[in-house]
This record gives sequence, C-alpha cells and structure tokens, in this order.
Amino acid sequence: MFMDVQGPSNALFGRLPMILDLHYNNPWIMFAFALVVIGGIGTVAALTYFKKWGWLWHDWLTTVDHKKIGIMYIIVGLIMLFRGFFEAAMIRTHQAMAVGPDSPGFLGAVHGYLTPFHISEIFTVHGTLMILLAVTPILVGFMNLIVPIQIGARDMAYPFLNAVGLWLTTAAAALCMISLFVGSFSHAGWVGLTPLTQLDHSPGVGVDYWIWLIQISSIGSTLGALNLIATILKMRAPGMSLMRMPIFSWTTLATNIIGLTSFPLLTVALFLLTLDRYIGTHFFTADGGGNFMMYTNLFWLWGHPEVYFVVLPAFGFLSEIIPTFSEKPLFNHTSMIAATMGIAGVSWLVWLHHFFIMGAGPEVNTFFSVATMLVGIPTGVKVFNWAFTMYKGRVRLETPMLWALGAVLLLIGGGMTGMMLAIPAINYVSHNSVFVVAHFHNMFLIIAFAIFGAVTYWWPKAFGFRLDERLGHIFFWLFWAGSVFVFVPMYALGFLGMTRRLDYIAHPSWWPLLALEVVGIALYIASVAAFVLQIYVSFRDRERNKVTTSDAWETSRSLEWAAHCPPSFYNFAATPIVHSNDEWAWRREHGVTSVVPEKYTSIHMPKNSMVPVVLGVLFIIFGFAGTWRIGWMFFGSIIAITAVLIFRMFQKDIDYNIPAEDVEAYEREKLKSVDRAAQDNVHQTGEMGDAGTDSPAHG
Amino acid sequence: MKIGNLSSGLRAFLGLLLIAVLAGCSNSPVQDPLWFLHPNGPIARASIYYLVVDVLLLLIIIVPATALVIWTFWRYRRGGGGEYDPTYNHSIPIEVIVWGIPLLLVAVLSYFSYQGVKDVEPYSPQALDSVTAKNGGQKPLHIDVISTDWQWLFIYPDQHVALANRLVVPTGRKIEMDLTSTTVTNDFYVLKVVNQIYMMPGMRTKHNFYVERPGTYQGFSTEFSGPGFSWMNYKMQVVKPKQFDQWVQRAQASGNRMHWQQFLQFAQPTINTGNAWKMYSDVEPNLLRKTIHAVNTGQLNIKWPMRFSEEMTSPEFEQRFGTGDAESSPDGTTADEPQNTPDR
Repeated sequence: MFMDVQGPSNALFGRLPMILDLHYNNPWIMFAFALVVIGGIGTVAALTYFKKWGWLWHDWLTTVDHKKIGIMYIIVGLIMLFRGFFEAAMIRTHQAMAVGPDSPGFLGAVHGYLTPFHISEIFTVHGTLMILLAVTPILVGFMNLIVPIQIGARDMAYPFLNAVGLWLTTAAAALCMISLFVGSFSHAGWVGLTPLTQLDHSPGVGVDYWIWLIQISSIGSTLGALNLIATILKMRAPGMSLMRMPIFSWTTLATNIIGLTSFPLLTVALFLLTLDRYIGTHFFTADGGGNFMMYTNLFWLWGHPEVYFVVLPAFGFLSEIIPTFSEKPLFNHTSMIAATMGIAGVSWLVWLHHFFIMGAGPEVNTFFSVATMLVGIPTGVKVFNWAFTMYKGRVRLETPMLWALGAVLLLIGGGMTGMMLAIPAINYVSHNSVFVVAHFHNMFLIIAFAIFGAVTYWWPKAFGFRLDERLGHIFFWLFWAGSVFVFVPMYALGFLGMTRRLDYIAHPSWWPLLALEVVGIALYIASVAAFVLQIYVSFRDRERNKVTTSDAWETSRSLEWAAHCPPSFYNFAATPIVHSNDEWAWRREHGVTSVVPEKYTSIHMPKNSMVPVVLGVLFIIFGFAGTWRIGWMFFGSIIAITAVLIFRMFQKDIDYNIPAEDVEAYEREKLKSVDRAAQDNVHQTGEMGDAGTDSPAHG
Repeated sequence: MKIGNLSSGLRAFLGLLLIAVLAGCSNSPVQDPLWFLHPNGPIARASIYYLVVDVLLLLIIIVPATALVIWTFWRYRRGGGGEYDPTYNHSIPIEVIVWGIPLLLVAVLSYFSYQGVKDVEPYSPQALDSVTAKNGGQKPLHIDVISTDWQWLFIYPDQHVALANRLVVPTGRKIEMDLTSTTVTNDFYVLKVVNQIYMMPGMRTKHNFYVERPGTYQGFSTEFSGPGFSWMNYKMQVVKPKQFDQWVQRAQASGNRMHWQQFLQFAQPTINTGNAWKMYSDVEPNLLRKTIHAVNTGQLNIKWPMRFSEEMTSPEFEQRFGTGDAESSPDGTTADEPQNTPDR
C-alpha cells in the first residue's frame, strides 16, 4: 500500500499480478491443489447427495455448543496436522536425496527435488502450522470439549466468543491453504527473525501471509484464553473448589493464563513488523535506528510460553488417563497442581535460552540457564507422581494408557536433552543444530502421544462408541517406531554437526542417518493409515462398540463421566454437586451413579448464531487483502467486520429456555439406551454429601 | 587447571565413544570425521567437558525415573502380582524427595552452568587464561569476519590480507575476532574448534579462541539466512605458525584488491555453490567498521531480487557456477592453498 514493492502491482488487484510473473507451477503444488480440489468437490457432492447442507449449517457451522466447537477445533487441527505431516515427509525425503555435490536434481532443483526457496517455504509452513494451526487447535478443542463438562458447567462463559475463536482459527487455516496455491508462504522459518523478514530480504508475499494468518489465529487464541479462564473461575459446579478441580482443568487454567498474557506480545511484535513492511517504519531494521534483536526478544517472550501453552494440556491429558487405567487416584493431587502452576510461572522467565549465542554476558546467560533448568523440577515431579499413581495400582494397558506411557518415557528423554541445551556452554556448540530440532520434536511428540491418547480416551464421551482397540495398538506401535527411526538418527546428526533448515547437505557421511530417517517417515505414513482405518472400522462397528453407561472405561474418575455419552447439549439435566477430587469415582464408590435428577427444571441456553461464521469469512478476506496489499478490500473488510460486530451488539434474541418437560422427555429418550445402574432412582445430588443439601441444582 | 586434569580421562572416554558410534554409522572418507566431540583447543574442549558433566549428573535422576516408570508399570499391571491399594495416593516423604532431589540437582547444575559460561564466554573466555599466560607476550592474531549473502570475508587487518570463503589460522596463538554481517543474521561456527556466536548486521560481536593442533575443519553458518544458506560452507585450515607466516607472505603477493567498491560487489547476493575461495592483498582499512557504519546509516542496503525468495526453480545456481567445481576462485583463477598438515 505505502511501501514500494518489487514486481507488478496495481490499485485494483494489489500485488496479485505477480503470480503471473513468477514460476509457481511446481508439480508438487499442482498435486496438492488437485488433492484439495478433489477433496472439496467430494465433500460438496456428498453434502448435496445426502441433503446434509441444512444439518451442516444449523447443527455445526452456526452452533455455539462448546462440545461441537471443540470437535470442529479438533477436526481443523487434525487436517492441518496431516498437512504438516506431509511437509515433514517432503523435508526428510528431500534432505536424504540432496546429499553431496553429485546428488541429482529434479523438478527444477539443483539437488534433490525442492529448490532452496521451496524447502524453506515448506519448513516454515511446517513449523507455523504444526504449532499454531494443528497442535494448538486440537488442544483448545479438547479444552472446549471436556473442561465445561469436567467442571459441571452448561457451556462456556461466553459461548458466542467461543465460536468466534473457532472461526478465527479456521480463517487462519484457510489462509494457510490459500497460500499453498495463490502466491507463496514465508521462507524465513516459523520464528521469522528480522531482518530476514523485512521487505528487503523477503520481497514477496510469503511473509505477509505468515504475518496475517498468525495475527488472525492469535486473536482467536487470546479470546479463547479469556473465555476458558472465565469459565473455569466462575462456572464450576457447587462443591468444586479450586483444589478439587481435576488436573486437566488446572492445566487448562494455567495454559490459558499463559495464553492470555503472551499472545498479545506476539500480536504487538508482528504488528510492528507489519508497519516496517507496509509503511516503512524502522522498528526491527538494521538501519534507521531500528533494533531487530528486539523482535527476537518479543517473539521468544511469546514463543517460549507458547511451548508451555501446548505442553501443559498434554500433561493434563496424561493426568486424566493414567489414574483411570491405574484404577487409582492421581498421586499427590496438590503437588501436581503446584507443579502445573510452577511450570506456568517459570515459563515467562526463560525466553533468552533461544539465543544464548547472541553475545550476552555470562550473568545474563546464567540467569536464563538456571531459570530454564528450574522448569525441570516440576516436570520431574510430574513424572514421579505419574509413576507413583501406577504404584499399588492395577494397570490396564488399553490404548489410551499405552499412549500415556509412551509419552512419559518420551518426556524423560526430552527432559534430559532439554537440560543439556539449558547449559550455555553446551548450547554454544549445539545451537540451531538438528539436535535442537530432535529435542523439540521429542517434546512435541509427547504432546502428539497425549493427544492420540486423549482422542481414544474421550472418543466414547464425544460420540457414544469406543475406538477399535486392536487397530489402536497397531497405530501406537507404528507411530512409536516411526518416532524412534526419525528422531534417534536426528539426535545423532546433531552431534555430527548438522545444522537445521538445510536445503543441501554438503557432507556425504551423513547420508546413512538421513536414510534411516526416511525409514521412520515410511513407518509414520503406515501409522497414519492405521489411524484412518481405526476410525473407519470403529465407525462401521459403532453399534457393537456402543457405550451403554456414562462411564465408558468403567474406572474413570472425573465429573465428565457423569454426563451421557455423548452428553446432552445442555451437558447435565441438573447441575451436579461435587463432593470429591475425583467426583465420578466418589459416586461410583458410594453407589450414587444414577444420572436421573430429583426433578427436572427448565434450562437456560444460548441460541445459535451465524455471526461467527460470517466473521470468519470476513477475516479470510481481510488477511488475503492485507497479504496482497489490495487497499480497498483491506479497509472494506475492516469496515465490514466492525459493522457485523455492531450488528451483533444490538441482537437481543440470543438465548432461550428449555422447558422442564422438554428436558425430561429428552432425558427419558437418552436413558433408554443406558444401562440400569445409571437409572436407579437415586438422585445424584444431596444426601450423600454435605455440599448440596440446602438448595436444588439450577442451570 | 581443573579442565586440563580431567581432559585426558575425558578424551580417552570420548575416543572410545567415537569409535563405538562411528564404527556403526559412518563411511566418512575424512580422517577426522565431522563430530563435535573431538575438540581442538581449550574452549571447544570446555564445552564438551560440561556436556559430559551435565549428562552424568542428569543420569542420577534419569535412570531411577525411567526404572521407576517401567518397574511400577510392570509390577502393578493387571495380573502382575503387585498388591492393589487404591487408598495410597499421598505421601509427604515422597513429595519431599521428588521435589528435593531435582532441586538439589538443579542447584549443582547451576554451579556448573555458571562455571561453564565463564569458561567459554566468547568475549573473555576463562578457559583461555592458562594458555595466554603460557604464551606470555605474544600478540593475539586479530581477524575481522564479515558475512554477506551468502559468503564469508575474513580480514587480517595487521597482515593487510583477506580471504573469501576460507579461513587460515595458526596453532598456538590466541585469536581475536570481531564479527558482523551485511544484511541478515548469521551464526559463526567452526565444528570442533570455535563455538557459535551471532553475526548481526549493524552490530559487532567478538570471539576469542585458541587452536592446538593443525588440521582442516568445517565452518558454516547455523542461523538460516536465505536461499544461499546451505552453501555457506568454508574450510578452516589450522597450520603451524611458520606455515602461517609463509601463507601470509603468499597472500600479500596475490595482488587482488578488496576495497569498498569491490566489497560492495562481493556483498551482492551470491550463492557459492562451487565452494569457491579467494585471497586478497590490498584490503580497505577498517572494512568491518565501515560496514557496520554503512549498514546503520542505510548506505549498505542490499535488496534481494524477488526471484531469490519466490522462485520455484533455481536457474541462477547452474548459470552462475555450475556444480561440483570445488576448488576454483570466484573469478576462475586458482588460489594458493596453504600447506595442509594432517591432524595429529
């Protein structure tokens, strides 16, 4: 808009004419484009053929139900995870091919099959997407899906805001998909360090795509964090004091406090970078009095807390899964809460360890080194507590437990390498090597393992049937083997001195290890196939795998297992009263597993709204126009977004009451498919505890 | 010195490790394989020393933790014979142990971390104290390093010579470096010899090191800096002082100019696919300071052409350099290679 840019541009189409000038016609992109088009046409055709458009619109796209929003978050995340995985496979195969000066080149590349620009684009999109558009949405999805039920709430504190968050994330994901075919993505790594991302060194639109999609998704994350904190602090069921809250809700609280405080930093850093790129300010330039290391600081001030933003919920999953399958309460519940908050607290104090080598003095580096190592203490406590949860337990090795055990073992390995990198003297020889890459993938694998564990664990809660056990085991072992084959050689390559983000490998002696990593990728591909097959087979046999009680695993412990599988859209017919840390286990032990309330009352619920979807579409236009510098469209979309928000403010008809008799009819229908234990005419509140005796439960 | 005493045992240990690992997975033709665990010089060695100390200390927790997880699972799996007691969910002594022992360990590691960072601190490394004391009054060799897109320029101001994409240093003499970059951030790193330090445009960082044995080492950037990043490799040749002096004389006789005009030309985006290198004898005085000043004031402002950051084909690689021509200089003439003495 204001800066002189290279390449053609005009007022009507911005920089779009550029795509005619440059060679984007790479076969890989054509392949991906074909894949997406076929997938899109297939979906549209299926929706039309089965006449499901209305269902999609009314039941899903416009919903404000936290469970459906959670599921949609997870679907978006899984699709992005699949794309990110595809990119990982490309990086690995390319690097294994581009070894030594004599290695052949294909598809316009000198070595391997990806040009330097293309592979840097791929590792950038891999990093950005895996963290912000895959792992984060999946975890936020689980928080949405589980936390309100786990704390006995009807919905989130701000159901509408929740839907806005989802559609902002989806808009960011859509922009990421558009960047694949229209123009290009950033080439500067997911951290996008300045001055590499300045207009002089990244003259294309890639960095702009990267900026706008992160901005849009981080607004969504900030809103989501606000919402979850409010929900957890204000909407807990009577009797659930903070210290009685399950660990997953605690980790969600900790995570979102991190999110709420750190995401605005990223927004500001990227906003200043945007000003540099668009109107020529000098915040992060090397000239004109700019200080680009300030960007590095700001980015990691967000970036490191973000690491804990994604790892803490994963620890929360493990803390739910391990007690269930050990048939024993979580060991040292209070200590686990302290460890969670401890990790969250230290997370703001460690960012400088990402650039120990910038030349800061020994005192500065020591401070951040010690702070980083402090994280190891609560993390170690968690490992020990999980081990002691199994101690004197009765451990069942069902699929979720398998994933959890794998995650704990990975955490030990990742913790060890993390403590190595925390020492500056070691970091000076290993910074930016693939040893670091192997370390943080090791940590992200913990999250992946926890996620797959959580998918299996809460699947029956969300859908009413269990996933196939045998294929789940096969999926686990393939995924585990793939992880070993990819990341053990990668650790070794780090010791051999291999740097990250290489397009061409100058040293042929590294080839055997790179080839081993490709074997790992093949195993990963097989594991993805097993996962897809697992879901297909389980869905096909859903009648046989049907869950007939609210407690799908029979030894579950937290409150979400007191709701139906799948829960009614209002979660609980009557707000539950909480008596214990492990409420469902307490009820099971006291024989009050009935889900039939004393009497039915009317329930107050939010109405669906199409505003969030509309906002999502407008934000796609906003991001696209910003990226391509189409001024009229950019400012037009800002006006439209503001107008829609104002329209929403004046909407009065946003909620409704479900009459008591409707609730009763709905519940009776639900109860038909549930086993007898849940129907015993013992109401779930009062009597057995002290918490709920004075007032009947209300929504 | 503490490091000196431990280092002999450490080296034996690392040697064994090296053989064990490399026997399995390397067919490297290089005598001294790529592997940062065979350091040359006190600083790189200090880093490896702290690596070993750190790992050994960590094993105090890692081994019991792993054993505990596996044992509890095995013993208390359903049908594993462990006694089932669901009421056992809290224990103050265990809590004290699981918080206390890691805390103690972190305290010990923090001590080592502080010692380590002082030993290898690039601006004034403690690990060099002993060798500089031994060397008495010998003046350190000063080298200015400038990274461009995507080449290296090593300037020896006192010798009035410069080298592009090749570094030659003598053994047994402290070496001081000033470093900067022309456009984007790079990391200076020579595997096994020199630890990493950022090279930032418009800023100056410093580095100090000392090399003991002659040999040839790999230098490269570790901070992604654009499309030519993978080709930012150079050889660092460590030679005996006498050979170094001979080489300096040859370089001084080379007659190539590197004045500001030539430097501006040199700093244009160039991907050094052929690993070409060149010597210069007529070098602009204070080139590093001038570069920093020019970057800060915006006079040196190199814009990358769009095709470098947007093209899906890479024609300029083949057009400019061809591939695989490893030992010719940028303008096609061959340069004098310093005497290469094998390692050890």
